[in-house]
Amino acid sequence: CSDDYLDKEIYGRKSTEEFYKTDQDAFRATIAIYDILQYHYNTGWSSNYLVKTLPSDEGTAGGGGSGDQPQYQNLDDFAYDSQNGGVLGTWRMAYFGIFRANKVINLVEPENDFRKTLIAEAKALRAYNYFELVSMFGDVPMILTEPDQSEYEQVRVASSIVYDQIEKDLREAIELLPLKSEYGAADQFRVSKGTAQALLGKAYLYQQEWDSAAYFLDAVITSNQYDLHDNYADNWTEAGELGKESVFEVQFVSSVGYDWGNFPWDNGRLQESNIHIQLMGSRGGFYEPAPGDSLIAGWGFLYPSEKIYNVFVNAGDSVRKVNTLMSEAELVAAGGAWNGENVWDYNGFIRRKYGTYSNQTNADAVAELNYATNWRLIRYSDVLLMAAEAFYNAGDEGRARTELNKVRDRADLDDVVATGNDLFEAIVTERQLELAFEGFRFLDLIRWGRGSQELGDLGFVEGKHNLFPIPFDDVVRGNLSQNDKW
Amino acid sequence: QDRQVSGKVLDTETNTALPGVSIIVKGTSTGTTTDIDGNYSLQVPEENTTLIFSFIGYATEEINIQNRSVVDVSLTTDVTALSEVVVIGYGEQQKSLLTGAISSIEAEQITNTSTLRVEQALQGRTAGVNVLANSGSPGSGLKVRIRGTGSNGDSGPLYIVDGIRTGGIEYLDPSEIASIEVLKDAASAAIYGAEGANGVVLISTKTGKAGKPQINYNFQYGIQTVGDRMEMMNAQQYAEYLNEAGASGTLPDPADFQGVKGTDWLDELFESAPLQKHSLNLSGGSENSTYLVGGSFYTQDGVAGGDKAQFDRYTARLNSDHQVKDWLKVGNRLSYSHFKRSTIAEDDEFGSVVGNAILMDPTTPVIYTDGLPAHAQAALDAGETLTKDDDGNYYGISRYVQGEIGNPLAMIQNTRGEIVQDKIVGNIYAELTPIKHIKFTSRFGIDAAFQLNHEWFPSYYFSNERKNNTPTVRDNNEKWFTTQWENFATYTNSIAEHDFSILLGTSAINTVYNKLNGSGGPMFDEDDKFAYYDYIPDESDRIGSTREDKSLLSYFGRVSYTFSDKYLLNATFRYDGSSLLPDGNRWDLFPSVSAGWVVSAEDFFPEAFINFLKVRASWGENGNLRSLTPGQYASIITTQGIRYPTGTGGFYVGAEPDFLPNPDLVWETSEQIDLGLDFGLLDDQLRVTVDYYNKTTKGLLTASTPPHYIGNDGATVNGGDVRNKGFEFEVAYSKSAGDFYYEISANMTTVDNEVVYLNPLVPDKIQGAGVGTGWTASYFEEGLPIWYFRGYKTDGIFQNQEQIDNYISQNGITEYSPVPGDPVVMDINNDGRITPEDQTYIGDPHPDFLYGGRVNVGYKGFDLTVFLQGSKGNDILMGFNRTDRGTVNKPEFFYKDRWTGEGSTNDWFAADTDNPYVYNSDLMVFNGSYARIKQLQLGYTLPENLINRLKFNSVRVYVSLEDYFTFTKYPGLDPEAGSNDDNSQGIDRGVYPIPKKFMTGLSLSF
Repeated sequence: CSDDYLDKEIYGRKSTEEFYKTDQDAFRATIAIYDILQYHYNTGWSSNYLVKTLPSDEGTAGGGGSGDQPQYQNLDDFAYDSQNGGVLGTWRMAYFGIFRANKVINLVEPENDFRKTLIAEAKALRAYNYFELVSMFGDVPMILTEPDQSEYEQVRVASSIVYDQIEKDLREAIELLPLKSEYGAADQFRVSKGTAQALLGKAYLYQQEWDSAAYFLDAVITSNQYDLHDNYADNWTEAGELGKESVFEVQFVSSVGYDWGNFPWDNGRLQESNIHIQLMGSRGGFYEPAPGDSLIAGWGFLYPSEKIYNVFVNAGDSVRKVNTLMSEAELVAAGGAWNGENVWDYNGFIRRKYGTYSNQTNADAVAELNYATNWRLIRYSDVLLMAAEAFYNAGDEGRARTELNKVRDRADLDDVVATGNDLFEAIVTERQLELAFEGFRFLDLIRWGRGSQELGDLGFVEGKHNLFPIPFDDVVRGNLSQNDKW
Repeated sequence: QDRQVSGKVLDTETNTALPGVSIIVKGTSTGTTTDIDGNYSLQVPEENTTLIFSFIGYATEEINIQNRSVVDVSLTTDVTALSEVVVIGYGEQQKSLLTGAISSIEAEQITNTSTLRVEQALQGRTAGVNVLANSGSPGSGLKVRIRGTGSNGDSGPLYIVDGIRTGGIEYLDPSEIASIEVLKDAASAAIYGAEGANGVVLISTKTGKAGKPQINYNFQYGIQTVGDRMEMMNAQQYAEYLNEAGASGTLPDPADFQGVKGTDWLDELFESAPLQKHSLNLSGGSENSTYLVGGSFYTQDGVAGGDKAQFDRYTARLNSDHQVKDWLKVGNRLSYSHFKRSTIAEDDEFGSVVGNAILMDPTTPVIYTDGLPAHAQAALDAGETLTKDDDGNYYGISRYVQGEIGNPLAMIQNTRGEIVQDKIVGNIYAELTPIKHIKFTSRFGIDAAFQLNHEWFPSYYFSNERKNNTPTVRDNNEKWFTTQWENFATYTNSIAEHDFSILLGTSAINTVYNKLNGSGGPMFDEDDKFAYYDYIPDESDRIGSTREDKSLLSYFGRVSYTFSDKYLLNATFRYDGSSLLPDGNRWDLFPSVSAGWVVSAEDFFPEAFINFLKVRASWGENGNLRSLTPGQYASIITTQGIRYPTGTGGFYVGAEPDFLPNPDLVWETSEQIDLGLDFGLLDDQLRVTVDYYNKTTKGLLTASTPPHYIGNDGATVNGGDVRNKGFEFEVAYSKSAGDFYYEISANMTTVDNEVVYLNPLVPDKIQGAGVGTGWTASYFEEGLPIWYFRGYKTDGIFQNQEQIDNYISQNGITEYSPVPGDPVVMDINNDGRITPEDQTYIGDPHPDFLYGGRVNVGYKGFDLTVFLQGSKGNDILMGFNRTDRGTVNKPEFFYKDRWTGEGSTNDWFAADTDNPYVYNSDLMVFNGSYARIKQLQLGYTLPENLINRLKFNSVRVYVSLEDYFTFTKYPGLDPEAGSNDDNSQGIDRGVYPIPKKFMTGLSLSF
């Protein structure tokens, strides 16, 4: 006998050396980078959408009780620590995306235009993930090639250097990426030139490099690839997904038809539906929809705060309010009911944006498990508001008002004519209204230096909560330094 | 002048003829053997007057025949334990000459127990072996730990049945077994090298004996019940407790439940359930050919779930041996088994039936017999499917308990599924003795199992979080096929006082695993007959399949040398190669050496009351690869599950490396030393064995946990070292006087388990199992026992605000605001805050020692057996509580023992449903020590004169109480029932308790 007896096929797998060779390999490796964007339910409930939303003043954690998904309860209460599972999930998701992007960037030979475009796509996605990290955690390890086992211990790189890399990747990507209109219907989810420009503009905005931010955000506006939906509500229908207002979205579908037996719990790689929508529906048993309302019950997370409701009321913004939230009184008036007393973390308001709409799930399968609702990562209205802010800070108040008023017009609100600080305040309020519950508010408040002002009574500590803690696991495993006060 | 001597050889006990008995004229090489009827005849030289009668398993007799010409002899079974022959790997050895630590269990010890599985027969019967039931449900598995938990993943021993390595021994009925040997030290197991690290269990099945054909029949019938149950809060207590605790959600008003007991869900869940077993063996043979044909049938219902938790097993066996020529013997061992197991969900604090019976609120009725309450009617009106019982009544759904918790009886009603397995294990062999002293054996075996798990899920509604409106069907079709070919040669010789034997051999094992699974729905209609994919719209079928191949190639050898039956030496090597390791790391050598000295054989040894004394020592290394599946070292590209929806309704396939590579992966090896002493006292009536062992598992295989920023899951790595050490004692005393005999035996094992090294590639603490409160409760960390419990350490209960203020100021603690009635949480890291970093060791599931004891008493036809087994020093973590579902029920002692005001108690907290300092703390860790009378059996063997008239050889009837009496302080359902997962050992998620059994039985042989 010889060693041949021990040479066994490894079924269903290819070696790394055999892969990354053909156009198809390159395409599949690129799709894998997108796949990780669905990874909100990676190891338990750890959506970075909720990680970025719960510390804000938009809502409360909710759920079944104070012990239900403690990682989310703690984020809501500013009681999270470096061992928070949601914070870890966010960190992990970004680095898993970076790992996959690095594979394409480093191992695919740019032999033809098709592959060059894929590499550009991978660079844009790598930049997106590094931006997530740097905006939430500050200095982070920057990994551009796969380290050996002996090099697993890394150091945190200054955020300015990470931003330099983000800018470099995005500039290279912008050169090669197609316009959104150049992608076919099946490929509308892919990163286009406009996506990369918007990301780069946002990266400059966060660094307060106003001219550069304005330049790249304006490039998106002048590209004529995007426009606002006439109707704000169209953003939140399934039909409106990947539409003209969509700059970047994470795709989810209901067609897989999961049931309780085959739902891939604890396996983020396999997720194709957005289970967090079910988690974030008003809690069944208490919530009873009004007749004809397709907003059905869920598991009760992320109830709106009274504060955000009042912002809509004070702004006289009814168009966006009905698409964002409703009060219990409005629910009852419409013929629905709220049958609970003493309900955990419930403030008397029900969220409709990213709601549990019966027409966004699969009626032929288990409805709870099959929400097709996409996460909207960048909408054109966000680009306009970011541009307004950049122009304002760059000294072009005219352009700032122009872009701001495009958004207000669509919401049937009067044009803003304010100048100076009032104009800036108008932009701040507009972002709060237009983008409520989309995961931007908390980071906006941080970069505007308004954490203490708006969140102080919720437990925000200046100098501590400005950054998320470096996950404990990696402080231990990688010997990383920790952020201040954590 | 020779003379003719003839006669007949009989068995003393059964009075049956013994064929094949060897008869030698002492001092000569003249001899013969008895024929099929036990008769012999031989020529004896005139000057010789002594004949030696010998037969394996019987005491050798030397008879002075004087001038008789007819000499009838009765041989007695050799009961002297020290002269027993025990099976060792690829051979046999006289027990008195063993140099390793091997424990034996004889067939008669296990025949008359209600045990379904052979592993159970190991429990408490021998030192060094810990048997942990995964659950008390019919057909559930057991974990066997030989000398502690050595590995991170699978720490089970290697099972060798008649020379065939088998995946498990669940297919064997105890009636098939002739003997079990447990190889505990490294030197004994070293002949199995690569896979012997967690010990080896060698099982020999029964074979036929030449002579009159025998028929043995055994019958057992038993009733199982659940004994002293944990009491849960009744409706009144429940309502008061929740309100006192200020639980969130809709709460019951205590005023509505004054004096109301409500539903006792555990009482409703558990029922008495039958079990029944039949086994039949036919055996016999001639001088040259023997056979055994046997079969058994076993059926058991569950004490929870009844026939929805049923286990049925059929086994059939054909063993035969043929001496074809003087130099050639061939034979086979062949067994077929078929089992069918229905299971209800268990070992889970989220969805299991027993877990839900604990958590379900007592105000909800089992069924609604008098109309539906509003909340149930509302669900019905909303189009939900409420489960009905067989009489058409709706099962109760809770108004207060939400989440995934449902009515456990409705869950049983909804359980539709079974696992069916067919398995063939067997071998054919040939033994050649071409020349004197040399025996060559070739053995080819297979272990083939085919299993189908078919289940379907009807529509149901328990709550908004636990409902199903899409009936779906699921199948999992698995096939394991292992072939094993072994060839080995033994050279045995004696020269003067030197006895030696040399073994050399090879083994080649190839395993293929195939899986085909599918799921689909919605079903055409909710019925068994529609639970097949052809009746489901094609677009919603899903199908999957996988395959895994692996192989193991081995070369082995052993030298045994004995001088004058006093000085014993053994050396073993095994050289193994596995396909599971990367090229270059595939092969490894596993050596061992052991030595013994029979002190009592020395001339200087006084003829005192110690009649036998042996000291022995061994050292060796073994391997383990059990936790590995193919390709775990390589960075390999997969497309599994990686797809992304396109904008037009389809999917694009993605591909990426499954995990990070680890080209350095090597065998997990265990190194062990063993020092032992064997005594025989009072003419061997008292036998004592003492062993000290120290076993270190090195390079334990574990999933590596690189920093998350590396961007992928880690490969399997050699993660750390675990050390188990301790002492083992076995004592047995037997005596008979006239019609009276008794046997007493006892054993005890101490285990000291510690993780002694962690690979820098893994973090300083590996996280283990989480429980339903969102708490990672078990950890793997250097300097502590494997999978110890980690949580908050408490120091009594705060009695008043002053005490709280003092505690906070004295310790300089901030951001911590307990109230009176909360536990005093200790700031372990002294950082002035109470954070998860204060969690620390609060217990571990490993016993300090295990013990077992057995007393057998017989008088005339009566026999009585008492068999006790226990463990001491292990902890149990009460893990079924849920803090995320504030309104779930709790054990009654949570209510009765609670803090109710200053000075009421310093041991138990005030009513509380969600405080992590309560539920993630040492308050949930309990002493898990227990002692259980596994068997109390009274039997009666009918007198010979009666049964002879009935043409029987023997008839025995008995009654038996099994697992009937348990002594423990653990307040949960069962201190013994454990868990499927290694890192969940000792965590009680609402275990399926081990039932008490009242058994009656009958054994016939004729």
